[in-house]
Amino acid sequence: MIFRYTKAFPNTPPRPYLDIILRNGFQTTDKLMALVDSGADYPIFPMEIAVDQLRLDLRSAPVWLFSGTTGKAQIARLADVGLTILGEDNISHVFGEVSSTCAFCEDFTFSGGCLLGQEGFFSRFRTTFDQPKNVFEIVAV
Amino acid sequence: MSKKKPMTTEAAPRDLSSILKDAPPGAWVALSSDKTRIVATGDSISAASLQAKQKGEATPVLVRMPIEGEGSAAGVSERA
Repeated sequence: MIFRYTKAFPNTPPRPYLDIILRNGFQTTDKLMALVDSGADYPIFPMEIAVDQLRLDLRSAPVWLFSGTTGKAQIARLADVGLTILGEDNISHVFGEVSSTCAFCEDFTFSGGCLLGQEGFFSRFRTTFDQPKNVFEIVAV
Repeated sequence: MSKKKPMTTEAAPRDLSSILKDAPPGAWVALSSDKTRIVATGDSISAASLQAKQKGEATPVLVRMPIEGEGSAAGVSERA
């Protein structure tokens, strides 16, 4: 499935965003725009999504300590959730739901809001970028 | 030897920047399901989502605005 890059904000270049939904049992998130980011080790989301939308109890979940470009340490909790990728029409489920290990972080305030990283996204979907043409391709592994 | 098939021809990127240009920096924005307009904004996902649903948008698309002048560089990795 081919997706176009998205110019989301006035002062940023087009980037590879996907619309996704996460699921934990009967609890699902809203549709979320998430940046496909090969530099992230896991998909990362604000903790609010885990608590308010997915009703996850992460008190005993594995801790993942990570850092971004500032080098400042941040703490996230890891959990396995269902990940569904939506088509550009925002309705069709272009692949079946996959189980994905995602990180949820209290102080994660990334531009765009959510990242799709290596373990849990790139490990599930073969992803090919063609930045000069403003497209990227996702194939379920 | 097989030649790799080109992915596709060049495409224009989807452009949401004109829709999001006036959204508050750092805010969560609830877009209409077809992403043609802002339905609500808030300091949190829940606030933006709730407002959007109260306004009749059952399936908003949520995105967080960058803070003023914020770009993006590299990702996030396990800390040694």
